Amino acid sequence: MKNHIHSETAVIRRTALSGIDYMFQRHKAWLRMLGSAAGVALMLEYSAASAQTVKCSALRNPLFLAGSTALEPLYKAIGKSLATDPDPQKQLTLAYLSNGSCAGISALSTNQTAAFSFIDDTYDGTTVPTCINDIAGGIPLDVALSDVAYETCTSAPAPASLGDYLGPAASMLFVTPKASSQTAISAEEAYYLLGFGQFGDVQPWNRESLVCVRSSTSGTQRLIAANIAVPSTRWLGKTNSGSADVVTCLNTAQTQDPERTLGILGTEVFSTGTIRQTYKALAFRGFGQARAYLPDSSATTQDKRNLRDGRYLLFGQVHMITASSQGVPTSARARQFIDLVTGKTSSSAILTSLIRNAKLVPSCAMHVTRTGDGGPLSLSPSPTPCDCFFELTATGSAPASCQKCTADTECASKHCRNSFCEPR
Amino acid sequence: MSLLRIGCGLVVAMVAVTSGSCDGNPTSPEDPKSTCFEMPQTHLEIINSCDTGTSYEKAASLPKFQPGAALMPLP
Repeated sequence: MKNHIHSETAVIRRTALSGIDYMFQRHKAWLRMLGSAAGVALMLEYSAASAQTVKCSALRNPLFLAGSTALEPLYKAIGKSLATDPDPQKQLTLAYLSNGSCAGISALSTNQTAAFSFIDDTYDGTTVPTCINDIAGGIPLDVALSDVAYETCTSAPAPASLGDYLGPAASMLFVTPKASSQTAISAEEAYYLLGFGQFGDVQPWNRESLVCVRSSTSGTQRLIAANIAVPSTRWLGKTNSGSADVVTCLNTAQTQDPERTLGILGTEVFSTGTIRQTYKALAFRGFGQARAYLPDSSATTQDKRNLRDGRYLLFGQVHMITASSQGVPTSARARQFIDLVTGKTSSSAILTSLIRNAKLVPSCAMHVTRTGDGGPLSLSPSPTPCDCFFELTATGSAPASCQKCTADTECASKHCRNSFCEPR
Repeated sequence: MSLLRIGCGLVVAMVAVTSGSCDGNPTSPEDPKSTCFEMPQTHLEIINSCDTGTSYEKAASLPKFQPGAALMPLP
């Protein structure tokens, strides 16, 4: 009841601010709760119109983001939680442009005039609405989210006025149709395939038109590029502007020749919708490795064990770049978002969303870190590990060695974290 | 083990399949897991650390590349 009253109050406030269209959108949610036939009819009638006519200036506590197309599942995973925080002062509306990692970083320096997608308390888990960019002079970004570091995009260090905050780990994949007989690709093969195209004579991927890549500004491409020694500006293959376009490209290519079809995707994208039903990830053998590995310990689990231990090399940490002073984001909203994604203030619910919905690996479940994109790995055990919780959430079952707990006293010399005894 | 400098200036070591072991000593090439490291510390040991999951043999068949040789410069 309390929430209902709060919701109605918000309706009144926002209606006054935003006009009749926003009122219809609010009524849409209210009518949905009633579940009446009339309500459903009205909801359908106004659904399309309201989603198209929300003004960006009317969003409540907006946080404007831009960057990696592969990170949209992250926004979807935590956006609703942020919009419905029990503390109204902490409620945020994530508004974002999925324009690519490096384009997002470039966009930090100019106001944006495009329409933003946004996730507020009415997000139903399916279609993400957009708002009309009605702010005179455009909208300045709060945070750029990138799969790669600022330096990787710009070839120059970030200015002192910007902070680069590292979040959970994201993995990138080479994917092929399930109908393909291929199971792995090596860094050397990827070097000759993407650096030389058909002249690299890499079997069976010797038709450039069936090799679905991104553009040189894509974080997915730049991160893989850093691991195969082919600069992203030199890649050969069929260029695509976003992850969804890669999927379209793959769908077309596989009808021609599934064995020769290859593409690159972020794991978050690969794991959404029905993509996994049609395509499979290839194991990757990096330079200096004896064997090839998937991010997971097998093709039938999602434990990310090889990624977490450092045997799967096509990964990087999410970079959140924002205006900063003395190491602290200058925007309170940006700081709240970054603290949540980095795990500084995460709850078990947010961790669950990051793991299960965004397919990311929080720092507390990582055992290694790396110096820069594609740089050497070093051991980096988390001071507050969450391995048991991660595996339970990602796979549905925790390893037999994991002991459930409710307090430190049940864990001998270990600590009780997220309901499991963890070593630190 | 041979050193290879690749495009981005990163120096990596090319490890032959038979050059490592769980304790860092060379062992039989017949057992693929014998090439792994139980207590990894360095980059090369971490990426070749032992595991109980699935891994894949991937012997690249590349006309333009000889195992252990340097990569051809990009065109």
